Amino acid sequence: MTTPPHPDDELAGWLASVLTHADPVPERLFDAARAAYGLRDLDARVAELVRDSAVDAPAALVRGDDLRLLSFETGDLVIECEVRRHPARVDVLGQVVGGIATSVTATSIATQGAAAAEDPVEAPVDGQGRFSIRGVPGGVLRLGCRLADGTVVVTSWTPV
Amino acid sequence: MRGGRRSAPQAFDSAHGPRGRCAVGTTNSELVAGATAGDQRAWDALVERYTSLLWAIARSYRLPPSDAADVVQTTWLRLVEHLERIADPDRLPGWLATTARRECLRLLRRADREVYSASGVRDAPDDGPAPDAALLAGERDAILWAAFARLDDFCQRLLRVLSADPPPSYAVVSVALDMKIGSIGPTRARCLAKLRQLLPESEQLP
Repeated sequence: MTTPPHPDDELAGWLASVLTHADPVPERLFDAARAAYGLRDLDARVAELVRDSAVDAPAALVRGDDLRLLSFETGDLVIECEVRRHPARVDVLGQVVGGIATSVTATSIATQGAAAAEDPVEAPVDGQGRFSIRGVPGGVLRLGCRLADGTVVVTSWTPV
Repeated sequence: MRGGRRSAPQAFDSAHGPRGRCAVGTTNSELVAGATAGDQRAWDALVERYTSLLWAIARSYRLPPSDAADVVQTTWLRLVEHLERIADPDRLPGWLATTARRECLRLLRRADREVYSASGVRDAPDDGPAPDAALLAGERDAILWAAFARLDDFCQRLLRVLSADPPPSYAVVSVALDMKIGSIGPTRARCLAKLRQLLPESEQLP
């Protein structure tokens, strides 16, 4: 003999089915999430996001400006970036500190529209470790720094 | 339930019921081990299992669909980065929920800031459910939706996350919403009672 469902479970089940129909997961999100696996890079070290002016800084510093400061770190290596947002695109100015980088690539995934990553945009790094990458499609961004010793450091994926 | 989206033939997909498609058979340990070893199908099964939860979390924080999509995708990309460092696969859903919640809060704080910005280009925060009525199967469903939309934010958030498919454990809900695990059951009961009160007499369940 089975016990009848609790009225709460019945209502919750009805609500779940209504919500699933009314606010479904967009299909392209499944495609994008499956494709994310293809961006796995086993050789690169990951620099974690440690500072984000959009969250950490006093509001007065960023008010009225689309400029955002991000810092990523792994060990002694620090990647500092200024991200300036334009409609659908961002410019990234940055500096690699604590290591000698030879080039930087920006990989961006637009979650609106195409699920696939755009082709990475590469830029040189000057003698002071500075780089400038303009016109990167907005979305979720990763920078990859190729270091003089041949290793690669990538930043943690960050929506910009 | 998402109709018609069981597309690619996948080894892990065979034993799925209509709800909780991946709940049977393959454990998170097996899937994480598979994905770490390079098996795309194991990864796909994780995506199938938890994307609904991540979407529910992001939407429960009232993020507009574009920001919610960024949160979900960022969470999966972070897992790709961290696969080798998932020491305890049983805690994977909690890790995913925590990552998604942090990204939601980050986007909400950013959106707050951008209210001041002269040229903010992001969507306004979602001010509540506004479904295409045609998406709702019937009049009764539309009535329930309307009642849900009148609930307070907190109840909407909790019930939204609990409605993910497959339903999350209370341990996962606890980290997704930063609630004490012991308060989830009683709060759910209170929120469902409120929801019931908002339904017209004719729609009361027996």
